[in-house]
Amino acid sequence: MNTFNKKAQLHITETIAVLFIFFILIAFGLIFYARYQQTAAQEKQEQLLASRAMDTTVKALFLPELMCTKGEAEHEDNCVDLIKLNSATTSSLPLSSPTSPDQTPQEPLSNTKSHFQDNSDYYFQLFSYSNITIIEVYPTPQQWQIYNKQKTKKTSDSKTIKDWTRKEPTYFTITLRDDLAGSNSQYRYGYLVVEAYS
Amino acid sequence: MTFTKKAQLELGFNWIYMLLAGGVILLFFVGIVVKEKFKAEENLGQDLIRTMESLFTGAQVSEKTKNVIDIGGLADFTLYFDCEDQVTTYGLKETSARAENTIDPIFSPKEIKATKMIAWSLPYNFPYKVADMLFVTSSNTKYYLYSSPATDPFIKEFLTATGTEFNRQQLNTEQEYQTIDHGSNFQIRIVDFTGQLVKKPLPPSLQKFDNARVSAIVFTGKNMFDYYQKQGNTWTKKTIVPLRIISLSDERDAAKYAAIFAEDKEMYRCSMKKAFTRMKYVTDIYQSKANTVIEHYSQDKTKSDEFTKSTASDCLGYYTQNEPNIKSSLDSLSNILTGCIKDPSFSVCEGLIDAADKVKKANQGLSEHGDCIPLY
Repeated sequence: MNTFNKKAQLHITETIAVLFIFFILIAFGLIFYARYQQTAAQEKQEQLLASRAMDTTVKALFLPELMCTKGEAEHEDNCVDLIKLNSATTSSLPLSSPTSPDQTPQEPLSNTKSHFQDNSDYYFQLFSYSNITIIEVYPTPQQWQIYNKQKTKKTSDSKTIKDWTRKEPTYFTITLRDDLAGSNSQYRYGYLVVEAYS
Repeated sequence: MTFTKKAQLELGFNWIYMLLAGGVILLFFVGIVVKEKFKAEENLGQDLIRTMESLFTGAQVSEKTKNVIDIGGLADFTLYFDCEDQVTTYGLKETSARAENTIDPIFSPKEIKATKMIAWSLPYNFPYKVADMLFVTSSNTKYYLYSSPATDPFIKEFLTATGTEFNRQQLNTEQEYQTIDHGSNFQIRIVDFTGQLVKKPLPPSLQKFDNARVSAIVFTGKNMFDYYQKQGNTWTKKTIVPLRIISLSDERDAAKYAAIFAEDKEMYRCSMKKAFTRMKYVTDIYQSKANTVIEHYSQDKTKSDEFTKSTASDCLGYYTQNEPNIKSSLDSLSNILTGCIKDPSFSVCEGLIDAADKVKKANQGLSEHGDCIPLY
């Protein structure tokens, strides 16, 4: 009788051990799957942000509001009409060094007045959360902020702070056509900076 | 005897235990497979939506190009398009894959169920570039064009512009119309430049086809058109009064192509309104540009150099004094645009044609002068 009891106990212990290993394996599988999903989702988000940054750059480069037109003919590629640009953005900031501008995210976010900023409800559909700046490198270093909308949130003490963790900058070389320079249009050299936020 | 019974009990317990454990493991993997399958379908839908979003962006860069997108993986799904209150909604029916577009004017059939989706864009110049009109159709949406006895020049242009990527065919006679067979096509659109085909009964093959899948557009006069829908054996007119194509009737008239590719009056008007909303913003910039140029020439007029003075005076004429001139034409265009965007009947928008034509003429004058800064 005693031998039977011991045998039965042995069997129960064996079953518990098998079940324990089984659940350990399942748990390992689930942890591995969750980690993989998390990494995949993160990678996908990064890909999407990079893709959005490129899309926004393309949209900014081909804006009818800024592009260089030639009457009924095809427009000039990668060219910004300086008269239109100055009409769209009221301030052209002199630039000490031709680098991309960086916002101070902890401070309340202030924006330069521009056509795109004034109508940001409409242009948000086009540019989403991003900062678009045109920088002239030659002959006169200066910059125009076209659009700037960052994801923000209010803190308990009513301060507006940034609510984004990633920033994807893209740069694109452009020319700036100045029709007011003289009898012939003058072309300036610069680049477009698009920073997409996520 | 006692031992045999115990062995039987143990054997039975082991089997039950194995079956239970096996069942749990099987269920776990079946669950994963089902979840992955569902996710794969969702991802496919989301990928298509993203592809379409990129396509709409890309269309603005490589304008006038056609994109044929393989959607064979979604052949069992129906892609839908709708436009209401200047918001285009598109996605896969019966899935959560959907997106909204408030900027791009998109003209398409209401539904697409095909292995290939075709997207094409044309710039809408009215008179300056306003937006890129996007036309979306499928490999199994067939367009029949008819303008007998003489071929309408637009048909030639349409056939050349659409190329072999599009599923289209020219009809030369009314008899040919009667032999139309829907074949394996999902939907049929008749593009009639005579107004004669819709007066006749539908071809026998189309009579058996789904009413919602057969439609027609009839061009009456140069810039007017009506939409028709199949109703049994006959055509029913869907527009109470003919619609007007709001454009300057240039070659590759994007607004005319839009009428052909749009499902119905509602989609046409809704997407055209999107183009006019964008036009208002573009016009604001051009008004501002005109003021800058006027200021520039006003300063030049005060200079001592005779050539500069006379050029400035001539150019200012085109901008402010001549009839038509840039400033007043742009102001008028802007005012009509404001009214047009709010007008549900679309009648105010027709006034844009004259105002845009005046801007175009004034700009032509500036370009012909040679020394003036054109508006666009």
